Amino acid sequence: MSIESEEAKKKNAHIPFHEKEYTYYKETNQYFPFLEVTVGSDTSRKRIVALADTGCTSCIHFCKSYVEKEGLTLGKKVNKEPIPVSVADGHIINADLYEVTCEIDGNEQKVIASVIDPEKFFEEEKKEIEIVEPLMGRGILDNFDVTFKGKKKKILLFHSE
Amino acid sequence: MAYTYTEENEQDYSEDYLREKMKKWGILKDEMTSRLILASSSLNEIFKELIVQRSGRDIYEEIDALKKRVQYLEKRAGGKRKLTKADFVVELNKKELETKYFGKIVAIDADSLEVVGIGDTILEAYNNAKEKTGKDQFDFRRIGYSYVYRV
Repeated sequence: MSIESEEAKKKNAHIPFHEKEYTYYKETNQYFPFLEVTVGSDTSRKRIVALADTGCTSCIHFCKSYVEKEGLTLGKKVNKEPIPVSVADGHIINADLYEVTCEIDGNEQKVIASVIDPEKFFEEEKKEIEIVEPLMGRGILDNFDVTFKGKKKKILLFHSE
Repeated sequence: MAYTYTEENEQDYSEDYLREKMKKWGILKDEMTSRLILASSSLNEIFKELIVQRSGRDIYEEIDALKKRVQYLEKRAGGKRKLTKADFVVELNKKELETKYFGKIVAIDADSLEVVGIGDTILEAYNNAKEKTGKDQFDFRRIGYSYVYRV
């Protein structure tokens, strides 16, 4: 459910409802389009940042270690058995899916969040896996018009016309 | 007395001299065979030299190590994810599902082994399935793909 009415959204479609400068990463000397988003269940919510990733087909994607570190309370688990998810390096990893409430600047929606546990998957190889930031994928981004202003290092979200 | 190789006495064991000797001892029957034998022995020497120069170690050891690596990678790529009941249901109805719902998400009830919800997104398939069965946990597959999401 959104706070703004549908009519008002259409009227203001040319004005970005969310605007954020890219986040600078000192280690790699690079800028990334992170968005601020509130996620959680009906009982508990937390504001986090998630990387806007058009290559991610999920709504919002977490690594289990991040969920534990941030103490996020996700909603109801909707899968019974593990769900296969293809990760960037070509592996197919098992994931769990949760019904999550997600809010960006007053625009609230129920989405499905995927949570993978790469530490468990790569257990045999004893690889060092970093805690990866969450990804905001096409499941959410496709509901809006998104502009990546690469030169100005800004990301803008508009309501769809 | 053992023969010691020097540049000077290399002349004594030239190709012509050896061929003559081999003919005399009955090892070589004709000129062509003798040339072939000498050529192949020279080629063998060259190959051995090349292999050692290239690998810098035992080539057979290297082949064994590579075989083991390939076996490990094959095992990891093919055998890591255990198949579930949902995979069985999709495989059983593959032809029909791919004809009707290619690229769509299906929700599968693991108890009744039936497809109970279909949608463009997991949320849509989940809501359909929930409405139809009254249950709240299902398994999901994207028809025609081995994964549901790509991240």
